[in-house]
Amino acid sequence: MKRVASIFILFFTIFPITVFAQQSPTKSAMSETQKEGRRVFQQKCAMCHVPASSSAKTLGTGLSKTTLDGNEDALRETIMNGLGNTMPGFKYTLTSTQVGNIIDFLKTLDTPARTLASEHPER
Amino acid sequence: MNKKNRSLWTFAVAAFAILAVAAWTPSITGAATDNAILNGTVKSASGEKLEDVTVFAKIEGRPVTVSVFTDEQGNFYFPPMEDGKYSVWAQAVGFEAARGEVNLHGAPQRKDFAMKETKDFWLQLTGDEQEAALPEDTPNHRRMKDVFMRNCTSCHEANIALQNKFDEQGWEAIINAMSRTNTDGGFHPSDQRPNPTLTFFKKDLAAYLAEMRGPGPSPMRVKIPERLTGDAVLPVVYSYDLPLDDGGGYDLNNGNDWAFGPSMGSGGGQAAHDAQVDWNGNIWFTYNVPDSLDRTVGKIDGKTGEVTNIKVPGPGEFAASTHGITLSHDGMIWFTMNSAGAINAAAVPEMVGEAPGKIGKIDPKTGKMEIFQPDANMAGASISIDEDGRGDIWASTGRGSLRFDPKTNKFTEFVSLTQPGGSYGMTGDRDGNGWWTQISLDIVGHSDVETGKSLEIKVPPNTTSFLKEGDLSPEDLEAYGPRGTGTEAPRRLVADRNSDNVWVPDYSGNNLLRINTRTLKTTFYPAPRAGLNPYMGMVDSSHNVWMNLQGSDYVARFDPKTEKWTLFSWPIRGTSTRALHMAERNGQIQLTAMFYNASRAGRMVIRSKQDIQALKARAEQTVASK
Repeated sequence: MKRVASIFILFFTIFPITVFAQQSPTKSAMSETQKEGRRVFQQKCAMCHVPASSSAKTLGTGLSKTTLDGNEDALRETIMNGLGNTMPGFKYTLTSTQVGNIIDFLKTLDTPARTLASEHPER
Repeated sequence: MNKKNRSLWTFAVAAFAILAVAAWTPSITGAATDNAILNGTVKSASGEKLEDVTVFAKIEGRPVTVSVFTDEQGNFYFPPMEDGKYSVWAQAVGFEAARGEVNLHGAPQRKDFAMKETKDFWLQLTGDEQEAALPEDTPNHRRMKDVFMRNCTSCHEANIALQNKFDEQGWEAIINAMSRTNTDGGFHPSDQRPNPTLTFFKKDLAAYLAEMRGPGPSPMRVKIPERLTGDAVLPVVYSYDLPLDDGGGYDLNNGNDWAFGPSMGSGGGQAAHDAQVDWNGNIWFTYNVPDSLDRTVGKIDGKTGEVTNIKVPGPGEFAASTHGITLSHDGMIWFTMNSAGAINAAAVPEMVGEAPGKIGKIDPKTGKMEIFQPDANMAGASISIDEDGRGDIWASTGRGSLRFDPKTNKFTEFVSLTQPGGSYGMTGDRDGNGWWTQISLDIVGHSDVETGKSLEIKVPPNTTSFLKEGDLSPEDLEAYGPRGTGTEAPRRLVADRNSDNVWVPDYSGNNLLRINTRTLKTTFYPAPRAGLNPYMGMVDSSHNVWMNLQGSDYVARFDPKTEKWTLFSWPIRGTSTRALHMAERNGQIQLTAMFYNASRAGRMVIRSKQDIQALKARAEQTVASK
């Protein structure tokens, strides 16, 4: 419960104080599951968790491997079931594998992503 | 203009046209070094030939995807392309994507596809196709469909919202978030009042969306759209991936794979706005971001896709932002530079109080750029820009319009009769008058350049709706605001410079409005489908009107002679186009648009049946000679 509460607080931080990384995670070598997690994260999560442009405000907090530290199960639960009427639960949209891929991707981020992009167009 | 000057002007235009035709690089047939013609046939797994399948080819290492469409025999013909290793794939609604690779090496090559049907095609549908599945069978379903369309498809296609399934609480969370978003995807500060209309309908809308796209069975009636045919399957489309201007890299969902749903633009992939192809097949685009460090406008090499950013210093360390763009009769690129008028300028405090919007001009041949500043007592240029039939440039402003004379570099201002007079669309007619839209007032303003006065036309209210009497309560109507139902929202209009018509795409009215510039008679033509959200018009030399559709991934062509529509496909999902531009040279039409949420530009080259026949003959000749 304590872990859920700490994740809850993180998600509710409307104006994250995290210092955003000045580079997107395009340079690091990623596994296929991490790349897939990045794609799904952009499609489903980034609207609230990554700024639309450099000075834009986000609604949810920035996410990185620090967010996950010891909280993986709580984060998985949050993605699936949401946080009240503040964050929707994705259990009717995403599979548990996709959620796992998102978490694998977040582990590649030392700091929250400022942009989301691939080094080359992937498709 | 007196008769002698008019004749000189006509002669100058004609002479330039002849020279320019000679210089036009035909892009249908490709450059001289491109000889590889990829062709093939697409069939279903049961052997049925499939028409209107989109076939894609993407050469390794290039940010360019080429797309063509199958004809009624299931055949497709790419234009000549350079040698190299290509990923190729075919997509059609109701089928799984079929994929392969080909190595092109200077000769025609065949690649056939067999496509397997799927019932899981929801994400392959365009926004209007998903919206069409929302039922209209009960008063509440009609009421809430109207609320959804009014509140959730003003800035993006319906499939951005309907791609997901949530329970009622989840949808309420989404509505809470959307009631605090800006048009650029950022969010208002927490102490700012959330959108009052969304707040009013929040509970009902959440319940409705959970019924439509929730955990239980849905009353939506989903069907595979009718396949396009005839002229609609002739074009070739080049889609160019733009590197993000902040941090580089490319958008993760560029719309090429329909199974992923619409491109979202999240994480820095939004805001390239208008795109204009020049006479060399290169594309110039505007960038409507108030905090870009290096991109005021950009140029895309039409062949390689290489992007060059051009920065004009703006407020502080930022580049000036831009919005509208056009191509003048002499091949120059013009654009509005609207740092002060940027929609979200307030996001960057340094911008407030900046000089009013300017207009810029680039010579595509030399790259030389000139910036022109309106007089201090005039409103600045803002959203749209166009040339009139006399060669003057018109720009929309915060209170009407500006005319710029390129010969004297002088501005003349026309102030809208009804204020607030901010204009959205802007066009110039063949007589040298400007026409502009006041989108939120359902007014089309226009000039009388002889007297220097402004005039206006009230656009008649939209009377077509699926709503029935009593579906909306008095409280609902109050929440809708003073304009209520029946709004037209005239957007980015265009004059036919070979006739007396101005054409106005009505965004909310879902129609095309014709205004006769002499008689001021107005005629409505309903769009060919519901929920298309017509946005910006272009007119070709045959008087056909072309419109981009923000609610869908199609381009619509309207033939005024037959009053018939033809839809043409953009090949990706989630185009969310906010403009359409055209270049017509030597009988060839090219249309360009930015795919706003995908950080991409699209260039559609309209091919004739003869063009396809020539490619077919070339492919068959090579096979026979082997």
